[in-house]
Amino acid sequence: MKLQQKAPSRKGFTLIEMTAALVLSMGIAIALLALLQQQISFTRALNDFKFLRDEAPQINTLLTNIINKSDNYRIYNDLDSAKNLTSAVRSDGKSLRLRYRNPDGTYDQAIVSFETRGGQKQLNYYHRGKNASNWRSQPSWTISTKPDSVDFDNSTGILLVTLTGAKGDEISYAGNPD
Amino acid sequence: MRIKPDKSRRNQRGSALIEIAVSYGTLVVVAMLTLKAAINTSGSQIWTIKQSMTDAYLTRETALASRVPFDEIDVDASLWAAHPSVTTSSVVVGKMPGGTSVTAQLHRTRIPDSNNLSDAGGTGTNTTNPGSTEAWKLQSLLVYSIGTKEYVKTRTALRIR
Repeated sequence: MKLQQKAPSRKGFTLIEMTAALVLSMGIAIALLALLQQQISFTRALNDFKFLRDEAPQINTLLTNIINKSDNYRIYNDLDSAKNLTSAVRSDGKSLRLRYRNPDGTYDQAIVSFETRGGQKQLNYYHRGKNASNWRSQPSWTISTKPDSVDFDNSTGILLVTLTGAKGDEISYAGNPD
Repeated sequence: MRIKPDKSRRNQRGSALIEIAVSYGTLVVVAMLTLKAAINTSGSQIWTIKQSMTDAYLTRETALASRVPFDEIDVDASLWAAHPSVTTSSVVVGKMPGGTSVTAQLHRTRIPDSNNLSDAGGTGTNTTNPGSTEAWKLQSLLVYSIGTKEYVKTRTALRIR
């Protein structure tokens, strides 16, 4: 009986195989990262449009309802000027004072003001009923905290409300289109 | 006794390369699909936003046409030229994120009612129009582009005195 010599078994991988596997695996990992980055960029781009897409139309709807119910408006530089009826302006105004005539001939009043409160930019609504002797110090409610800037303008004879978002995006509405 | 060499192991050599190639292929397909979805979604976003902007701009046109003094409607310097002439201007309807301006072409024209008297652009007479009433349609057309497509929106205000 002749014993055949067993061929040496090959265990493990060569350095070239390991290198190739590592390079290819890294390639896949990089491709996955690129895919993730793409998704992040996409989500960010979607968020960038959020103000113009979602917030601005809602603010416009609210403001149009508020303004159209009034019988008189005037633009001021800021909230204090609007409260004290001083320094009315036609453009670059941050506060809009509105007057609502009641059926009994009396008036309610309101101010829509863009201001910074507690470090946060807000578009606020202040209401003053016919029997109130003073304006309230706190807003009645906050219309939105999303705009980076809100400008009221009447230089063309039309009340224009320009809403600016945090990304420099901007849209202008006619405050009283009818 | 002869021990046969392990053929199955020999056949597996190089299969990892095929698996990695399949992974690459799958990744590329997934990447292409997500890219296509991203492009589609952002394209529709831009479409929606530009429609909002142009709608908003036309609310200004409606407001202006409803408020402009009648004496400024049918004069040579009117913002709305007498039909078929048209006044054309380039307007900024808004800004996209990043501050890029969105522009459009605004065309305005005023169309007299046919029963206006001749000095008001119509063919009416004192018989058909004894009250000398005057009516104008103030038409504003906004022409803008989204991608390769061009869109037109129009608003018309009727003014009568």
